[in-house]
Amino acid sequence: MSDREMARQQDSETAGTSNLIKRSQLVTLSSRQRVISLSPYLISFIALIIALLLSIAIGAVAINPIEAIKILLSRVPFVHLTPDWSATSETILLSIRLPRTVLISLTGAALAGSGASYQGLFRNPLADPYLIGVASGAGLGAVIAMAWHWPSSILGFFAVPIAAFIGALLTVAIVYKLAQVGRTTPVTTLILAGVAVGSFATALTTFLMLQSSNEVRRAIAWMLGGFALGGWEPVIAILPYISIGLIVLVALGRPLNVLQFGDDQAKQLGLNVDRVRLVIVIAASLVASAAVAFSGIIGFVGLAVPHIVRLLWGSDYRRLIPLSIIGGAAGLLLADILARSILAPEELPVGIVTAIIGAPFFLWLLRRAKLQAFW
Amino acid sequence: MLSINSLSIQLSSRIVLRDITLDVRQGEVLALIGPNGVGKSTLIRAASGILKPMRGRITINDQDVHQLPIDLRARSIAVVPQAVRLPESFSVNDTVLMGRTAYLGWLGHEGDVDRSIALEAMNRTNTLDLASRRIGELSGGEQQRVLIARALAQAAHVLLLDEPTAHLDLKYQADVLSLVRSLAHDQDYAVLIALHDLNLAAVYADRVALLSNGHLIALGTPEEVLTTEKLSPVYGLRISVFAHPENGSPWVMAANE
Repeated sequence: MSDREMARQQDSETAGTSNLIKRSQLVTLSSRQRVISLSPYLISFIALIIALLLSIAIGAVAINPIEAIKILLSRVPFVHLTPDWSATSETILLSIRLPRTVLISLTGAALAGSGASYQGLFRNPLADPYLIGVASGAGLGAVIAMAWHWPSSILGFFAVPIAAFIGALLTVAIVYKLAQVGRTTPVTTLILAGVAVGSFATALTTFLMLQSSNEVRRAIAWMLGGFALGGWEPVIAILPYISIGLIVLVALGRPLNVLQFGDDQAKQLGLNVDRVRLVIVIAASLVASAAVAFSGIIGFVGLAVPHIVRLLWGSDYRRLIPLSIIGGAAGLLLADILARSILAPEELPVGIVTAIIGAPFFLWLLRRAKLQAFW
Repeated sequence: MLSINSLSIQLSSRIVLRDITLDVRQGEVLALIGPNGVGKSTLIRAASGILKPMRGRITINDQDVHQLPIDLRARSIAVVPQAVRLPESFSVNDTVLMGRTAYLGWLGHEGDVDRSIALEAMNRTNTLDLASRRIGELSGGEQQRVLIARALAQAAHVLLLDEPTAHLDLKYQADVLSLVRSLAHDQDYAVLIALHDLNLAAVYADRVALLSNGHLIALGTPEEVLTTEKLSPVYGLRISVFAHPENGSPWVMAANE
């Protein structure tokens, strides 16, 4: 028996007397919690599926969702369907619509998942990869990599998120140091430090983009979050980073809850605070920078989505992070559908749509008197 | 047993505690008293392992508190902080379950054993009825009892409390301190509690440690420490001590000049 098991054994013995009386209460409490916690996942999954179908269907060439599902099924091994759809639909779906939809889903999931994690890490409800400058830092890293050598091979595609990740980690370290006042990280200093460092990184990025003449137009569209890079390469390149990072963040929901009581209490409860913080900041920055690497800087998703989840279902990080991930994918898909539809056939960069919706939301949060109520 | 040996603590170039030596035995309540800013909270933070000593050491059953891995330390020493600025959205049940952190590791989930320990802790602190309420909805006294329940869920044998009655009504003060005393006397906890109310210390503590400017001035029973001669210089005014008419414990008042 391991030490941990022995300790648990001892505990269960000391608590033995009360087990008899409390067992019934225990059961009712936990089964009720299970029922309540099911519906948020159901609701957010339904929202995600609707957003996915809309994203596949809507565009210059409309594709019927049922037809889209048939085309997708026909690609599954051992499923045989007689094609009753046009070859054009199939090409548009598989090489344009679908990679874009998957890229946007991953990006939205990454931004909202990392936003929720930064909020928990800094114990600050306004932390967001965009507002704390991490996205700009990642953008600078990505542009340095692209300006140096435009990715032409799949290996080159994998390198861009790494450069973005280095930029993001440097930024978060600088912003956090600048924002600290004693043992706390106040909202105001965090946002101010984030804006200042982010502006600096953005200025450097712009300078670099203007230097590298060939790709300027492409890069500017990229910076505004326009998903200008098409095809499956970006999706494949960010998938490992985002999935590993998000799995880590989802797994650390409970330690994030403990951190909400402050470093002292978390340590006194037995949490290795320094190590947990380091792992969370690395995972969140990895995820955020992978999102920025091929989708550009998209603001406010990491702020708005976790807040909506908090308002609906509370601030327990064990649920907040997975629900923000699902909601972030759905939310950014909807924003992208708007971006494609408002001036069709022209496309707006999705970053403009998220800013138009997200910035007023941010100001409303800032003005709200009882900011702590859901925190 | 918690032993503090020749402890000195420095906080940003200021020496806050100097050469403090005291033991807290299993089954007793030892109250730290003294004016504000005298180092009571610093001593609690040091004893919990958060602050590293400049000199001296703190041991629990002969193991150095600062050498112990963080989770093992939390299984021996539980801390009840002041109930100020707690995250509001957690339920009481979830908050008390956080007392199990030291047994779960990073990736662990609370099992039935943890849940029944938490229920037992809520039962002992009279917070079971609050289990599904949010922390933000509770009164200060209720929050304080929840924090005590969380500490009990740690299944430690040393309990440190930092002015747990500071913002509480008279009734809640009595509730919280009776509970603390019964934990020491009936459950054999070693309790170190910072209190600024001398009369509460007189009634609820077995022994009292008087701190002044980072020095330990006196250590003994309330009758030995709570005297005009010892208290007046520390608080900088003349203090009268009477015998409480009902239980005979010292009863402290600032003298009317």
